[in-house]
Amino acid sequence: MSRSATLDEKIFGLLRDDGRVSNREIGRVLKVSEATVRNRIRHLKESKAMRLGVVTNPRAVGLVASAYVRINAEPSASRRVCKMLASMSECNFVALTLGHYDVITFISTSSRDALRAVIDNKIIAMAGVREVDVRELVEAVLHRYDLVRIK
Amino acid sequence: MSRRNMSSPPKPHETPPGPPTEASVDPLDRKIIAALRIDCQLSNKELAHRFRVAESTIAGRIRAMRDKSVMKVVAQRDVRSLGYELFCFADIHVAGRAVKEVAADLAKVDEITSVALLLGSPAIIVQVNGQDRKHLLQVLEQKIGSVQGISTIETTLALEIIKFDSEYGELYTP
Repeated sequence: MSRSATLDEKIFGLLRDDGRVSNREIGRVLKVSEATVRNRIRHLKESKAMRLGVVTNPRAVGLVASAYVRINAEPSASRRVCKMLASMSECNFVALTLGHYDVITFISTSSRDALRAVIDNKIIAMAGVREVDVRELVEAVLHRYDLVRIK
Repeated sequence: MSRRNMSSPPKPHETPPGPPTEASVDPLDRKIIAALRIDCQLSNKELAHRFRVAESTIAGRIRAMRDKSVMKVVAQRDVRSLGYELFCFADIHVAGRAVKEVAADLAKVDEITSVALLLGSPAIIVQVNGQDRKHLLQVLEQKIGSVQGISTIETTLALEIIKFDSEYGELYTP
């Protein structure tokens, strides 16, 4: 690994647990200048290898009912369905998939009633949707916040 | 980047203790979270000024939310920058072993970024990352396939990810 890649790893390691650590503090810990830290962070952000952001525990902010919803759609409608799902704040994840289902989305809501309302009134009612499979979560054992996909 | 010398990203913390189970934030906490979502580098001073409270109150709230695993400002890495191009879901059907035990074993697999427990069958849905088809198959066959208690694995490959919110996660106290 190149020297800058090793430094990037170390900077990421510090920011992963606390994204509000100052560049000065990172520089002090890693024995490099504040400017070097600033430059490396800018590079990581601009290349979209890393982002700094807020992560909340869904239950702590009241999102207690969630489900994977898998959809079978008319072939020409899949992308349109995805776009509509992506515009809904309850849908945290939307993908076009290969396999039995054409679309997978993950929905988080504040109650089971709210979950049902989103599925019944919005998703099942959507034009082009043929079959909907709902899998309600009882527990998230692992959901890594440090590995994501940055737009 | 070759697979051999690429180390799997380490998990932040191996064993999650109990995260909060119900809404435990008040209006000021919510305002702080909303402001940090827009700019997570806002200083405590700026937040204090904006919400007309003492700087120490802001610092205390942010620390308390961290300590209670409610909210954290963190660095997040793009899996593709680590070489993971493929993303798939695996429905895990369990038989002959407690679901929790199977889930705990699955959570230890580096390429798995999410393990969700469900009622009924499949008992578990996991998200799996792979570098390429060969690697993904290796993870499915060798790492997931070797976990005791799995009767069937059904996979669904993501062809295109349209939306991926990075705002939620299981935050464990170190």
